[in-house]
Amino acid sequence: MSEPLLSITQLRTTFATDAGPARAVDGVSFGVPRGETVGLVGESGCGKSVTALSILRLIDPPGRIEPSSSIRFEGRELVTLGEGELREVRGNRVAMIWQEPLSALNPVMTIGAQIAEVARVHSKVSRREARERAIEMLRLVGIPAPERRVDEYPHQLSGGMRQRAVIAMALVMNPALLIADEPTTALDVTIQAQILELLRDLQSRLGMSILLITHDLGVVAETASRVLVMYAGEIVEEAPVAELFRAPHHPYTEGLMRAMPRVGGTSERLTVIPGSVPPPTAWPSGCRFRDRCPYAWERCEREHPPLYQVGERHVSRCHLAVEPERRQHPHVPLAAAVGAESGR
Amino acid sequence: MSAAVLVVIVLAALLAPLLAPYDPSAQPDIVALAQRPPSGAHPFGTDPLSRDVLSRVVHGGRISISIALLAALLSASIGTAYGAVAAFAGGVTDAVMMRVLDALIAIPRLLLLLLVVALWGAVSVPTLIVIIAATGWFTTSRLVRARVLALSRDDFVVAADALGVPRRRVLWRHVMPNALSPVIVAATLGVANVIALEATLSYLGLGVRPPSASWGTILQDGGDCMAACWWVTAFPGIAIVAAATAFNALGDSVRDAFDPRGEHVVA
Amino acid sequence: MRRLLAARVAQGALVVALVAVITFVLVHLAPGDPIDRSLETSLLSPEARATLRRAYGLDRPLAEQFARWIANFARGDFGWSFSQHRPVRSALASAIPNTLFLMGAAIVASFALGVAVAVLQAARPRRALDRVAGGTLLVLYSIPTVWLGLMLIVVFAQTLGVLPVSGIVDPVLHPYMSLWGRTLDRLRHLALPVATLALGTAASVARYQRSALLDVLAEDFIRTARAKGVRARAVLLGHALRNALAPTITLLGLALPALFGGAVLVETIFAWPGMGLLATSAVSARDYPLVIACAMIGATMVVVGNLVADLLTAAANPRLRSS
Repeated sequence: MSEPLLSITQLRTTFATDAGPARAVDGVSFGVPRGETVGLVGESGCGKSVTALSILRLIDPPGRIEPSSSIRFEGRELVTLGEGELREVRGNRVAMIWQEPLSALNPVMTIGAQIAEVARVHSKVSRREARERAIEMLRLVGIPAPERRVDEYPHQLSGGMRQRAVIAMALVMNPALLIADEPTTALDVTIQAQILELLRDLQSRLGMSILLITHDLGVVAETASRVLVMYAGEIVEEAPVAELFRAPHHPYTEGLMRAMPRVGGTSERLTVIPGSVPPPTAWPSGCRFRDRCPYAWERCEREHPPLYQVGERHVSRCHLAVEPERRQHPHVPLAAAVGAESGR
Repeated sequence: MSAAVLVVIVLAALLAPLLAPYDPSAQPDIVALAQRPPSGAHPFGTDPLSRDVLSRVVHGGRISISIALLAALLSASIGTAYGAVAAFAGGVTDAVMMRVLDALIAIPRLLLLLLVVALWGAVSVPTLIVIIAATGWFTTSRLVRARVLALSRDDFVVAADALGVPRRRVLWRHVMPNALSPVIVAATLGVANVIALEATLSYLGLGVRPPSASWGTILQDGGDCMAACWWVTAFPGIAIVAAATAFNALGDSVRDAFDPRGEHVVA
Repeated sequence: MRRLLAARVAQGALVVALVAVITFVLVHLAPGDPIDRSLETSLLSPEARATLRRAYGLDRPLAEQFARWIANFARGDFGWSFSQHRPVRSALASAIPNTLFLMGAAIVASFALGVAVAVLQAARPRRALDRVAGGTLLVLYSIPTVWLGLMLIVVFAQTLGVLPVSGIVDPVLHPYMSLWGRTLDRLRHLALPVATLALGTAASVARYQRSALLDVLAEDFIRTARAKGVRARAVLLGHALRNALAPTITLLGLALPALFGGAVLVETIFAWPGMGLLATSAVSARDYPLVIACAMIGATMVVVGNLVADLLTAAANPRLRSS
């Protein structure tokens, strides 16, 4: 296997808070191979969006990426890259699309101007050429009548069209990596499917890699080739997508799957896992999932699980890997037993 | 920092008779001691009538600060009442009250004050307070009205209504206490504003009348001899700026305390 | 949009009319009338005064006087100025441009200065420059216009002797100057009055603009712009400032009455022959036609200014523009 396009090693991103440092991303390592789609899955607050923002170094004080972290992309170390070189990467080699297309777009600029801006920042093109490029991009992402739409403002577009415009903006420079942070969460179910279809189509045409961040395993199942499951600032399971769905190992992944709606409903999907993600200022010792886990035993309290190899290219951060017989005796998770009033 | 300035100013005003080195209106020697620059005996110098400027500034603070506090309090009350009545009444009453308010806001306050004060001639300090307050409540009433209207759509008010709590009781017990935070902010900033306003009016000869000395009347004493005795104007002015800055800073912190995200209101 | 505009214009006209009524009532409620107050008439006998009052209609009931004033006003006649001994219209004709010039210069200066300072602050918020500027702005914001004017005179006119103290041009030499010299003369006379009027306003513009900028900088689309590789400076000026300007324009609209009040003061301090100087002398002379006219013109300026501010705000916001 050649070196992946993006390779993250021991990424730690912390935020200074009144309650002490919040370790939002706490030693995450993974790679994104060329031309592939990698899904990063987890509940809100697990650190997946901070991971995405860290890649482009869009973390503002009081947040900071610990200097021991490494984010290698196309042979460059992004963690220590200078501001000027970093700008050459942003929007050019690595682009990003967002959850809320409306708030991600500048309300006082036409979408054409916002798309053209990428071309003008990264290449020496005239105003007219940049505009032509914007129209071309709008056509590429399937916006009808692009010559007219190019002069419209974000509020004049529908939600799905806005997300297409954001995608157009991201793809202007034909980036090697597209980071998509919950790209369909804010959209209607039918529009979600269209946007995912568009992303798949564009990927096969343009050959880019995609890091797809979502809380929705269903989205990952349709789109990604590999899946990373993140919990409490850590990767807890990583596997090829088929393997993960066939044989999930980590109890958290199991819980996510059980919470998956059968047919495209959007509500009450994660309510099945009792309790909530602990605050990043106070990760529990041992296994961070143990209070919500139906198999947890005393080892989980004592010992922070490493990533065990549980299959070919399949790893899991769960002691069940070495004591598989424990899976036969599920019990009521502590978080459910204590009840809703305990926030732990 | 601003809190310290505030404490010093208020203490100086309260303890003026103990702190002032001289009688503020004594004219010991109108020939030999007039217009003396700052010195050890007269740290702020003397004015054209040989009075000690430091003593006058310390005593002037009493009048200026009292006027500012009382006028700000009064205008906050008027504004709250007007805004609340308009919001509670609604309908045509509200519309008429708001158009009148638009007109009042469109008249420059200073022009209105000039008009009122100049037309009525010499005014006593209590009248001055009333007049300043009467021209300073417009913004407050707008804020209060907007806040009351917003609050009366809030869930807890709707719930109280649904439970059959009398409307009047809902308004007084639930809405008004919650509508007061912008009033407190506006009143604090208003104190700073009135300090400057009093100085302006008195400088124009329309405010506090001699022999009572406010910071503004001292400014006026100095205005006649700026070339020869800048200190008579400079020192009361510094006191005014320090007091106004302190109250503005206080108002800023009160606003931040009420609303950390900073929904900044023009007052 | 057009209907909204028509409604706003009608509302503005109503406001100006109300101002006229309020002023009229205030002036007439006050003791004394123009005949009592005028120096030239102070030696007249009571009978002669009564004759004058009758001639000017000052003996009529208030309602009738007001009706007559309105009738004249409807014909475009603002009436006769008792103190200026000429039609109100001609007194205003020379004063209005001077005031507009002063206020216009002050608005431009305060807006430019205020926005510039706010941008510098917002570029590195909560750092040394931001804090120092914030403190300075708070002090500037708290300085009474009168005292600022006096101190500027002490420093620049009396101590340094570099700028003139009063008037709009040099009273003696101006007509003999070259075009360039006359322009410079005007600017030199403008400097202190505009600085006096603009510094405080600039401080409130800057304070407001800074917080508007910081609010906008926290928005998602700012992060988008950074993710696109746009320079920090271009993000601040191109993306953030464009969005943050609208509330500041509205603020300027709201600050117009205060600015006009400030202009009245500045004109008094610097003997600037504008409406403020005219209004203050008219008030003390009980010259009610002139007082009412000044109040109405002032209110009109404020109303029109607010309307312009609203239009500019709408122009800066595509969502409002298209609706």
